[in-house]
Amino acid sequence: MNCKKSEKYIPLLAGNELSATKAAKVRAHLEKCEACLREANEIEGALKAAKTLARLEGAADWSESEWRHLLRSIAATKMEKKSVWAGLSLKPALAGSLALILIIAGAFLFLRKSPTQLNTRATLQVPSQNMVKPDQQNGKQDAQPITIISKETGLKIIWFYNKNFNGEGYGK
Amino acid sequence: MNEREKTLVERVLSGDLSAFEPLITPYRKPLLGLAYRIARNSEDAKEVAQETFLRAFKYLKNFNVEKSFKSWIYQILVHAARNYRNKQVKYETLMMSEPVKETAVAGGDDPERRHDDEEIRSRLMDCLDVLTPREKEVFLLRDIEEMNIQETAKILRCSAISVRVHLSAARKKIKERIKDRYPEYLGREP
Repeated sequence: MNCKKSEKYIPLLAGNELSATKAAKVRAHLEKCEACLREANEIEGALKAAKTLARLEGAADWSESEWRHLLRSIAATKMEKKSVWAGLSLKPALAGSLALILIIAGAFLFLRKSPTQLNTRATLQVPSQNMVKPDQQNGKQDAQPITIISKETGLKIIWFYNKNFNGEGYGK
Repeated sequence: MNEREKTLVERVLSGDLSAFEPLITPYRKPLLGLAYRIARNSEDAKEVAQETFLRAFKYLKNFNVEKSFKSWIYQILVHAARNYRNKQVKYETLMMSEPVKETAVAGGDDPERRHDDEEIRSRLMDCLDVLTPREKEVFLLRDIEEMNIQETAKILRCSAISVRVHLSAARKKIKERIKDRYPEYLGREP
């Protein structure tokens, strides 16, 4: 054990709060290091001094009239009914409630979205009445527009699908 | 929880309110003493301790008789002291005033003894002043009230690790203060 680690453990050694193994390691270091030994002695001395001061300090007490007055106030107090939360400590109760809220919220969000929306972040509009169909006037082609708008960027892609397109003129 | 306390709690809960006094009497001095060391003022300490006993009675039905009554009542006191301290801080900020100076709670009529008590008290308070509120709570419960780490953690509603960390910091600070101002306690010349 080095001085840095020892410094961390010395205050706890003074109050016997270290495990036997750790305490033995710290004591072994103290035998070798004078500075750490001095620090350990000072902390132990200070702790004893604080305890002595607390013991020597005259214990505070109520006067009899104050104590009687307090007991009368208690007798006039109405006892609360047993709470449904009694016996439950706050942390598990809080964690349980939070988990329940998250599960309900998650299930709600999951059920609100359709499977197709879960896979893509874009919206699909088909067919769009406002879209211009190419060659609609001469009837040579029968084009169906499909608009895809990205929710994130707002990018709009309009795809025309012509079922009469036969690939003529391409690849030449 | 000891059998005596368990019986007394059960008697109070079954309607025998006279059993409450013997239940709280053993805590009469210790709770006031701890409240005083936290609040630093006898009037505030009495208010905090009174609030503790009133709450203990009011919520006794919520107390689990299988657990320690001592830990439970100390938990109430720490909570009441924190509430009181927060109110005081707000009040002092609002009034822009200095914190209320400590006054004596014990010492009796003997002026010499009273003077000695005040001297000791002011030294102890001076040492406690270097601590943060949490360090002070941990130090008082573990080192002055001599509760174990688990009990302290339970009363303060924190982990044993947190208690160890704050305790370690508190002892270092107390050592520095005693070394600096009261070296005679460490066997040195002032």
